[in-house]
Amino acid sequence: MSASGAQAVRTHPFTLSPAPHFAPRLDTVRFEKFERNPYPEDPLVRLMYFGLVLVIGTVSVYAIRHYVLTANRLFGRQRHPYADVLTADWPPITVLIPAHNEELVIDEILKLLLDADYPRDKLTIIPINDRSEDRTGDIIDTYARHNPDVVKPFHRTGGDAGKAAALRDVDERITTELELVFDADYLPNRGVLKLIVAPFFDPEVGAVMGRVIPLNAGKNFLTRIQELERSGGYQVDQQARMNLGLVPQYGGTVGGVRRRALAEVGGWVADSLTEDTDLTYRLLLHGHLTVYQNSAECYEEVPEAWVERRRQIGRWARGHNVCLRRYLVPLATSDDVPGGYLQKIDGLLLLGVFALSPLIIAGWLLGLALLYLGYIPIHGFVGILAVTMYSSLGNFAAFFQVGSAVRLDGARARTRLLPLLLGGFLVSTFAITRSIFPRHLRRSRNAVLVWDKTKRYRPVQS
Amino acid sequence: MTARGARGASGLPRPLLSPVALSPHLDALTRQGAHGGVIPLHRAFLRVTMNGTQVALSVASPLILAAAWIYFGPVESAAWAVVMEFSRKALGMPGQTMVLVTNLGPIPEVRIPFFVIPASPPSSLTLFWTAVLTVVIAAVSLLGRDRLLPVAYLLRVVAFVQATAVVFFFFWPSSFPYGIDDYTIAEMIAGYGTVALTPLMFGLIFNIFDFSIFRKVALAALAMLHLAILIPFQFVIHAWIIHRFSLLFMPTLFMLGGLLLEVTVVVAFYGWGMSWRGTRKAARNPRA
Repeated sequence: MSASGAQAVRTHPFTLSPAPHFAPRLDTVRFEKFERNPYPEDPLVRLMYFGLVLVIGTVSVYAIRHYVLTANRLFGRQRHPYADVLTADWPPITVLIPAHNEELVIDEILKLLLDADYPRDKLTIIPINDRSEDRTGDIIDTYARHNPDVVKPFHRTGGDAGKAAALRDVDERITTELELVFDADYLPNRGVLKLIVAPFFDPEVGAVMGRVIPLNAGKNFLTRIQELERSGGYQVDQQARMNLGLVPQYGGTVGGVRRRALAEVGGWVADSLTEDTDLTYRLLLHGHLTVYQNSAECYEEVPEAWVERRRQIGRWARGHNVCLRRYLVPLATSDDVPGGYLQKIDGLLLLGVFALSPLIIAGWLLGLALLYLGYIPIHGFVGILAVTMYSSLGNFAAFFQVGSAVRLDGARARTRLLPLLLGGFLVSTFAITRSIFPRHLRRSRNAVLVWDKTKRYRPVQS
Repeated sequence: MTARGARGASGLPRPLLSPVALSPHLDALTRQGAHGGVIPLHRAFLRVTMNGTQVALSVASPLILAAAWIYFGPVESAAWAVVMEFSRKALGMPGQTMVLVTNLGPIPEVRIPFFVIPASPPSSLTLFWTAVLTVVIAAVSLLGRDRLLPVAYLLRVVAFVQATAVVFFFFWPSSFPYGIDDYTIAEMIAGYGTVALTPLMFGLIFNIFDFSIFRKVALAALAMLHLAILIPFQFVIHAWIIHRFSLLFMPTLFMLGGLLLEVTVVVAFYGWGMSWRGTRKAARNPRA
């Protein structure tokens, strides 16, 4: 196929030395076909073209957000307004541990919480045994017998299943103003309770979230990349949002809630797979702050199998996208957001995080379709730059965030795993996109009524 | 609750945690461990600082590298052209290598070598066997997917893209709008742009850390060199596949074997560079 249509503006032999025996005769040309106007005439194709541009633009917005947050975390003023609260008249607190078939892990968290440096007379621990079929109930009762002043079990035998429903039902048994929630597989250190409680001395604070660190990070490739992702999400993303007065997310696994604020916003919502995200936005819309304590570190187990990981992220996506539908318009139209327009914009962008994956896949499909139609925007400087910028800058934003976080964590050797994050991104993208389909939406409604949790990997405790 | 403090004994900004300004002696004493040594700052409070010289060097070096890439464009173009032409002949591909002279935004003249090599739609036999292979790839992706889910998804993406090509060429065999010339022009330009952008990217995301200026320049230069060597060979292989096996494989090569590979290479260099030790020994020590 010759360069038909080419208009030779300037041609001259391109002689190469010092190897003349294979020196090619290369003509230089201006390639008219290449420089054609890529703007499509057909309305449908034009729509697809602009759809692709819209996808690139949206992803670029999130990429810029990543950059801004990472730059702030690295260079900006770090806000830890409650980190110096070491001595105080610590308020009474109730620590809730929702548990369904958690015999592998419940023993350790109870042991660690009883060893916490929080004043024992101010501490109540309520393990919520939600119809467990294993030894969870027995283990909890054993701890209650030995620590009757602190451990007060709640054995659920009826009502809706699920963590949110369990938290809702235990509410009437709580007598303290502050309630902390830990997932049963978490391993809190001695000081974490005080770190989580300290921000509540500020009456504007409605919820506090600590940092989650994978315990089993070294298990395999999957756990390694999840550690990288967690690092980026907490060490950089959450802390930067705290620095900038944006919307740190309450995660529901190592955090606390002020019960007055909780009651004001309607309590725990049982029909949500992500009751934590739901609460974050309800608190925001009612003017309560959510605080992130980067130093309040707590260990968790991350999925060790890809199937578990896909299930977990699908669950998060379904729950988060429900929040997107519920709170997009109320947030966009609210005048009560305490942090003003920036906080509102960040809140809206945060709502759309799990909607990005289907958008990216739509972009790939549009790009492929336009390729076949001959209108892929790779001709011309603007088009190529857009694709190059999107592919490089857009992709690089996440790597920058994770790389920075890992470096701040002092684990610089792990940054060599950064390219392998692409594998994780691929799985996440498809898992999240899968979750928007009707079959999975139906499953999500059913899943709300059962315990949909991550598999535990620790050995059985004797 | 907190106050902005002056600079600590280390010369780095004090954290916004200390309510009072301490003398250098006391400042160091407060961070001394019970058995000697230094109590490092918790990672939750760490941040990065740069002085004016570091900022200037970190901004200048990527600009110089990018400018050098553009300035020596004719040399790079010649090298790429030699590689491509030599490879074309070595692989027995007909046609010729040409050099496109065009402008690229603010760059008035860019010389991009490309192939003018014939490529045809697939024959019925090629179409059939490719369809079979596509189905096989999709089926393989279902095996061991529990343990190798990322690989499975990658295979499915490959199978999907290839399947679209099979469908397209089945129904519209003469309507495919590209040839090897279009393809190599677009990919070589994208590659040229990627190399030019690489030092700028590293300027934003790597040079801000406390690496020596030598390492900052070296990483970007190495990545650029790697790409400069990779790109012509990358598209020689693409051109050979398309010429040998037909245009049927161009969509898959474009979507999965072009810019994506180059970006992955740059990310790999970035990850490697980020694992290097910084110059600031007391990075975890002072209240930075």
